[in-house]
Amino acid sequence: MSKQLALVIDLNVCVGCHACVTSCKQWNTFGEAGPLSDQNPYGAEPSGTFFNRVQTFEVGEYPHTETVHFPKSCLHCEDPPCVPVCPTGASTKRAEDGIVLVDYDKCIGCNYCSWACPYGARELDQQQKVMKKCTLCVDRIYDATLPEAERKPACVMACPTSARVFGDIHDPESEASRAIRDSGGYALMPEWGTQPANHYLPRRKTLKPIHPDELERHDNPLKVDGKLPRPASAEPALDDVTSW
Amino acid sequence: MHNVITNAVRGDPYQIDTLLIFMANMAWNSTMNTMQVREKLNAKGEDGNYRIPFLVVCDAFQSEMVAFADLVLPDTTYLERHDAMSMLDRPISEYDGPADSVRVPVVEPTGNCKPFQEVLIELASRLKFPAFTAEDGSRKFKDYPDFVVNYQAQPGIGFLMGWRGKDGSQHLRGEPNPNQWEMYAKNNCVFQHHLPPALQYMRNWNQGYMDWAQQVGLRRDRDPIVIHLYSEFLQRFRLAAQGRHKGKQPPQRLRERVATYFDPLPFFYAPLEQQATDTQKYPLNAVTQRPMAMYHSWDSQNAWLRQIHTHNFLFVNSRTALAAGIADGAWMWVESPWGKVRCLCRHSEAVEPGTVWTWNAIGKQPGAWGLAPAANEARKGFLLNHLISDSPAHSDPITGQAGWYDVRVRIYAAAEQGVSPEFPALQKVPA
Repeated sequence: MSKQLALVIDLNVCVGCHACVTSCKQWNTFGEAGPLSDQNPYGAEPSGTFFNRVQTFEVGEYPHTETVHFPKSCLHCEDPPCVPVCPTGASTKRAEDGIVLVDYDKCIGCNYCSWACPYGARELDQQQKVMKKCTLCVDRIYDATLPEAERKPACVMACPTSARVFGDIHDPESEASRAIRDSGGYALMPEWGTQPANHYLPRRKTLKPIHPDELERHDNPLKVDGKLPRPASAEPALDDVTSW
Repeated sequence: MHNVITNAVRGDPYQIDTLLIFMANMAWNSTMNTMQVREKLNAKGEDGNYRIPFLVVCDAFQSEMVAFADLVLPDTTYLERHDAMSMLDRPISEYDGPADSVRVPVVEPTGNCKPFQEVLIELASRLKFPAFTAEDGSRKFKDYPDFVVNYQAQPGIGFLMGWRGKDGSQHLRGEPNPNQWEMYAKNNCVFQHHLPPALQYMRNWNQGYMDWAQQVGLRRDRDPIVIHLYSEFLQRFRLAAQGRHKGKQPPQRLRERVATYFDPLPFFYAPLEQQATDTQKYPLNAVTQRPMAMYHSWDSQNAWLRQIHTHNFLFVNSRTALAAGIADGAWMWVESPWGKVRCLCRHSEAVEPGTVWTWNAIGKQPGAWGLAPAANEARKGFLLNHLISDSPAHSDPITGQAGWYDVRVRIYAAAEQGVSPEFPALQKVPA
C-alpha cells in the first residue's frame, strides 16, 4: 500500500505553548519556497502567514470546565477537496507519500482551494499572493544531511510535551498508527468524506479511585496524635507461655 | 529587590549617586505600583537635585525604562553574546543527573552594542572589587567569557562543570580549562552528567548519592536531608525576637512580626496584604501569569509572538462578570486599594468565581519597544501592576518575597472606553 504521512496530535497532552507555531514559522519562513510574510508586524493589528496555529477554547461551565488547546494545520486529506478545484494544477497530492502541496509558481491566488477546504487550513500570503499551507516540512523530512532523528517536521521537533507524532498512517506498525489505534484517534469532520490523514487523540480522564479506608491510618485507630496506650505489665505476653 | 527604586529615593539604607539597571523594566512591568515608581524615578529632593542623580539603563530595546535613563548602554540580544546557564544559579539539570548549558554568539553585535555582562565585568574590574582583582592589584578577568572559565566559587568549582581540568578531561570538578567554551560549542552547548541508576533515587538519604555529591562539591555535608516539620531554624529567629536568644536581634520595628510568623510549626494565616484589606469592599483575588508562548521573552520583542498575544484581557468568571453588569468584550474597571485600571473583559468558565487574572507584561507604553504608538499593546493591552502595592509590610514575612498574588480587587462596568491609566507616547530615539 502507498505511504500516507501524517501528524497525530494528542489533545490530552498539548498545553498550548505555541512552540509548534513559532518553530513552524521559523523553519518555513527561511525555506526555499520563500518567506511567510508579515503585515504591519510592529504596528496596529499585526497579521501574517502561518502554516500552523493553536486555537484555545473552553468547554463546559465552571467548575466542570476544560480548556482545550487545539493545534490546526493542513490535514493532508486522502481525498483532498482543495486539489480538483485548482484551475492551474498548482494544488497536488503526492502519490509517493500523500503530502498535499502547492506549487507557488503555478498558483494564481484565485482562492478556490481555500473555499473548498472545510478546515480553513489554507492562507493566502498577502505579499506573495499565493496560497500557502503546511508541507509537513517536506524540505526537512527527506534531507539526508540531517541526522535521521531530526528528519521530522519542525513542529514535532519543537513540542516540549511530545504531543505530536509524525509517521506513515498506512503502516499499521508505525508509531502514528499505533497511537490512533490504541488511544482512540479520530479525524476531524469525517462527514465531509475528505478522510483527513492527520488525526487527533481525545482528551482523557485519568482516574485514581481512592476508597475511604485508604484515607484512614490503620496504625492510628484512635485517631489521636500520640502513642497508643501500653498494655498493663500484668497482661500475658508470649514470654509467659514459651521458653525459647 | 522589588523596592530598589523606592529605597534609592528614600535614601534607605543610604543616598546613592548612580543606579544601574539591567534585565528589569522597572518603569513598567518589573515593578509593583508602577505609577508611583515612575514618579519616584524623576523625584527631586529639597535641594532641587534628583534623588537618583545618575540612572544608567542597559537594554536591547527602547523599553519604558530606557525613557528614564541618563545614559543608555545598548545591550545585545542573546544571539550576539556568551551566556551560561550555570550550576551556580538555576541550572537546567535533568532527573538522571546534573546538567548545565551555554550560549555562544552566532552573529556579531550590531553597532556599539555590548552584552550587559561585559559592562558588569568592566565595572567590577575598574572598581577593583576583590573577586575581580589579582593579588598584585591587576585586573583578574579580561572579559565575560574569561570570567566564566576562570572564576572559581570553590577550588575546582566554577560556573560550568563540563570539560574542566587543563585539558578538559575532567567533569564536575577540576581546574579551569582555557578551551572550555570551544568544548561546549562542539557538544551542542550542553553538558550532562548521567548518574548511575543506584544514585538516582531517594537522593535525600541515598548514601551513595550523598558520598558522590560531597566528593564533587554539590553538597558540603553528606548527612541525610530531612524535611523539618518543626523548624529549629525558624525557632531561633523567634527566640531572638522574644529576647530569649543571645546574638543577633531583629530591628525593634520588626520584632513582633518575626515573633509571630517565624513559628517553628506551620500554621495558616491570610497573606499580610489581605489582612490589611477590607475584603468585603474588595472581594476578588487578582493574579497574573506570563503567556507560555512568551515565557522566555520578557525582555524582547518579536513580530510573530505579538501576533499570538497582541493585547490582553482581564479574565473574569462569566457569573461574576454578569453580576457586576460587565459584558464579554466590554471595557471594565478593576480597582484595588492602591489604584484602578480600565481594561477589556473576557468572560471565562475556566477561572474560579472569586479570582480574576490576566497575562502580564503584554501592555506597553505607546511608542515603546519600537512599536507604533497605535499598536494593540498600547491601545488595548494593560498592566495589573498599577493595582499592586510594593510596601515591604505586605511581603512574605519569612522570605521577604514580593507578594505579587496577594492583592484584592473589585470590578465594575466602565462607561468610557480605552485603557486607563493613559501614558504619553515615547519619541523614537535615533537608532
